[in-house]
Amino acid sequence: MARSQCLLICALLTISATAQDISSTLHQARLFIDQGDFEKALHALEAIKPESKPDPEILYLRGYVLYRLQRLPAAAQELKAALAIDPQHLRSKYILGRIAQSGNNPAEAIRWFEPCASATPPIEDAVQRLGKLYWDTGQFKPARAWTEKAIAATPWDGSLHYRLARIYQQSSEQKLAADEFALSVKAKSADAGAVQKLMECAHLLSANDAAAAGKIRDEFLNGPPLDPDLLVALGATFAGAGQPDQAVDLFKTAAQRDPGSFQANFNLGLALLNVKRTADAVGPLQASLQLAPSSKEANAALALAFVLQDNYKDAVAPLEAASAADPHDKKLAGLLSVAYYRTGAPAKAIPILRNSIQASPDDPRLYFLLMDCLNAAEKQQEALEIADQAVTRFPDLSQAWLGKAQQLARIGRYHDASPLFAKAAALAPDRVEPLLGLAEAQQKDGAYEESLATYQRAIQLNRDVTAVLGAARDLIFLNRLAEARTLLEQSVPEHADSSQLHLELSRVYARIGEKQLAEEQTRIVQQLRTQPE
Amino acid sequence: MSGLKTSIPILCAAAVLPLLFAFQKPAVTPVVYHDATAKSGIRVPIVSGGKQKNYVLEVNGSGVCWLDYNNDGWMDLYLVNGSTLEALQHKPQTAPAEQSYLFRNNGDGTFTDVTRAAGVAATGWGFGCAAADYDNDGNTDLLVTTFGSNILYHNNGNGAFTDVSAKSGLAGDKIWHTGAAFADYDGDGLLDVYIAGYLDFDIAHPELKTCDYRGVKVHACGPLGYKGVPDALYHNNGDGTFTNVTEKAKVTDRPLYFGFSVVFEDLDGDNRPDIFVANDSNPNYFYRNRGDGTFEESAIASGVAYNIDGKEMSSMGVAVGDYDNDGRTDLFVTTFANDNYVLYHNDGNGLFSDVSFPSGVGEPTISFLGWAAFFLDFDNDGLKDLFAANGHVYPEVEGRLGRETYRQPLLLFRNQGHGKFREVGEAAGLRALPPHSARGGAYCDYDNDGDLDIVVSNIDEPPQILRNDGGNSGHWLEMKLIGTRSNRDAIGALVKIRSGELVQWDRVRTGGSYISGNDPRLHFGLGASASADVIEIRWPSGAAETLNNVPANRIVTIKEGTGVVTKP
Repeated sequence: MARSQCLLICALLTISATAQDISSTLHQARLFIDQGDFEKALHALEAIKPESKPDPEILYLRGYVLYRLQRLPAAAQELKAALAIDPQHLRSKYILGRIAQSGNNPAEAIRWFEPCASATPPIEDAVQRLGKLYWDTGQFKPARAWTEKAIAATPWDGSLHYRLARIYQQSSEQKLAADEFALSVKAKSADAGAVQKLMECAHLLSANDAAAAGKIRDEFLNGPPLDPDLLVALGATFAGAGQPDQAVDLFKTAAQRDPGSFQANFNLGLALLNVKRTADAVGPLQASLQLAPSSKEANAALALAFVLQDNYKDAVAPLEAASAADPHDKKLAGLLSVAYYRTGAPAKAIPILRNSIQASPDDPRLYFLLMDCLNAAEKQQEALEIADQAVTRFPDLSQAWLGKAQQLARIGRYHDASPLFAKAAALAPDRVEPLLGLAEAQQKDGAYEESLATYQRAIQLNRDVTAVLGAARDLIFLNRLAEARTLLEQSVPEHADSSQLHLELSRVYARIGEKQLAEEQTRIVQQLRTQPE
Repeated sequence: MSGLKTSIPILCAAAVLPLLFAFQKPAVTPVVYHDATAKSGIRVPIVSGGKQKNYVLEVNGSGVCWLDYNNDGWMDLYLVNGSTLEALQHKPQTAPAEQSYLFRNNGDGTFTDVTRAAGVAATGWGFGCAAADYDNDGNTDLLVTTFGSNILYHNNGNGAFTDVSAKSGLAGDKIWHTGAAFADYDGDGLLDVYIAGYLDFDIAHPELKTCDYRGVKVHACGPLGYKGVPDALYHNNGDGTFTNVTEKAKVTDRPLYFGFSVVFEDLDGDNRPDIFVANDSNPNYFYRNRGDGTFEESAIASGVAYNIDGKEMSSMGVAVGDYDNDGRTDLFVTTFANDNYVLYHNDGNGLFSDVSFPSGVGEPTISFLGWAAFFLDFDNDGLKDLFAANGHVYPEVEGRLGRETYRQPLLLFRNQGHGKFREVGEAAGLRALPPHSARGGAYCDYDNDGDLDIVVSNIDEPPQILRNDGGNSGHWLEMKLIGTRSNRDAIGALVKIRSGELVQWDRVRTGGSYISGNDPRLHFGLGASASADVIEIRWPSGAAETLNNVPANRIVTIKEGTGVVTKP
């Protein structure tokens, strides 16, 4: 026998013998695990380690045993090693999810549980856990989907019904919420008495019996301390019934009792937003985001709190986070675009709005906002193209014609803009803006008589200073100085701070030879223009 | 079309010999501007700091002036040059001192650099210029404004100049001076001077700023954020000296606006030179001459402080001329990008209306940033057309703001009559020229062929000489006026010329454009008329003079009280 053949046979015999040893050792280790003797199981599994090639099952078992022994970092290391060899090893992922969950790392836990819950059949209780994690982090849509799936698997679990009821309540589906609460009561998994009252309160509110509902609310607030979650549930009941002012204290008490409750903080912020206490809403919403940074709803609510205070700068980050969580949310995309536009970053808004228009081509507001952003980004020609599209798609909308006309005026094409302003004015005869645009376009085109007539129409709608100034300029062009004087002098009391009004008045006085009056108006112009803003 | 020096007769007497009939071309000949820079021999780059433009001092460029310094009948060219911060900070090891240039017109389309011999190098950081015979000795003198003291060069009459700045009293403070213009504001027969001041820039400790311009980070921020420096009016004492009469004449620039281009012109029809100052980022000034040695500022009531919307503009250059032949001088102001250039129609009595858009000059100018500007009848049809030189101040915008580029094309608006203009740069060959970031500029019939040529000063590049070919297919008449009782350059003289139905007005003036000086001779296109039926001159002294049946297509010299003369 050649030496090389001998070596090969020896090697095969060795492997065969080793495989046999591993199999028996694994069997032994599993027996220890079943008996709950994890130390022994670990000892057995460690015996395999030095003399074998890496096997995902062995690594998983070792990880599992270490997890049960609460040696979590070591467990995670073994489980990740198992996944490195077999990326589809779902049980390793499940345990990693449990480790992440116990380490208060919900985002990572969700990432591990997702494939486990989606598997057929699902791994362990991954579905239920996933539903809870989404709920805890304020991601109501997936929370609902996974909780419904979990209930389908374990319809006897009252806590699941209770959670689903809360999710329904959050999305204002009161009937479904009531059914689920009823089921949860049946399952006796929550404080049956409190939940009964909660249901009763919902009933009272729907019957417009605010006094009786208020009594229950007072009992919840002033009675023996209840589970904060029940306070949140009652608060949500009031908020859902259109009484957010009645919900604020319930949420606030819940948040004080359980500062780690996302639901309490988030709902408190939301209720404060609803009662227009936007500045007060910021704190609780920020607290909720510390607990669940990726919550679309909390990010969106916080952004709204900033926007309502005209603070677009601070709104950008939460809007970006919310939009990242749900890129298809049209409203969020629109608000983020506005925030970009208002904070001097229109270029960032442009691709978002283009995508939004592709997804929702029938929403004219998106076209108008995109035009604003393109103009702010110095892309006037592209803005004109969008204005064209808007006019084609919304021919009956005055704003579309106005948008295109304004776009043309912006680049100095007043002559082309005139008929479009006229069309916009015809479609919305009560609006002053198209008339002002038309009048200016006519004036810039040298059609002073027509411009004057249009400004006069605008003045009849609204004695806006712009219209008065425009009409006065036309009258000066037409050398109808007495009329210009009367118009301007009559307008001074109403618009005394308008330097432009005084400027035109000085021009009129100069033209009619009232030199002193002209000088006086000039002085007023200079005073008004040197005053700090 | 270029002329030949040897073919040009000495300016003629009553017979006023025609120049060359060969200049007369069929009326159908299109008018095209050709780049004659290479042939001219003028290759000197105009320096304005570094290419990066980190400071406001570096972005405004400089002016040009046409003058016949040697009285040979051919207009010579003075090019004001800038400098660098390093040179001004006295770091000669890193930057040589820059100089301005005087080019003598050889009469054959070429020029010769005579700066050294003439002694007009004006080292330092030059900005504007104005040429005039301030001492009435028959030789054109030269004023150069700088970032520092002004320089007055007295023309010795022998091809050389003497720096008389200190003695003259025109040097002024060491501040940033820009536009300048000569005129006899008080009717004493002596040319006075108005000099604009821009802003207070600390050359020793320049602050590197960064600001946002329409989303683009730029460094040459300003003028807003800086303190302005004052304008000044100097009265000519008649002994070679000037006295600062700013306060006395009531033209004190109290708000310290950022002054650029200046022009004296009778804008209210009272036969007295008023003053218009184009101010950057501030309202313009319009000082009306009260006839008692004082002025009153009335830009707001007159309608020239702002544009039609009552907005102050960044006025850079100013064109002055009667574009609608109504006998009243109109104004055209170049402005910053995204503001249209403004055409002010003179409605009489010093009252103006902004007619930019109805006239057709509004829309095409919105995206441009304008500097030099002047009315000129480039096609000799008897209607004054408009030229504007353009270029951005921020190199950083190139390629980032759509139509708003650093290098910009030249604009030429043809006067179509009835107050309407049409931009014809394409047809006139201007679009075929590579764009530059232009600043100063002035027109001149430098080849004496009867049509108006143009020089443009380009920042960081050599200037461009644009020769008008075909403009002289229409008849024309050019005239050099010599004052006797009036100042010798006849600055302020008003000429009314009638040829058939066509009546035109123009005035001898300095200043205007963008801190530059046009050909001091008056040019009239006569269209199909082979002669001027009547020429009426109102001299600054108040004397009036009438000439009848003056044949077209020639340059005539007219002396106050004498009429057409052969020798000045």
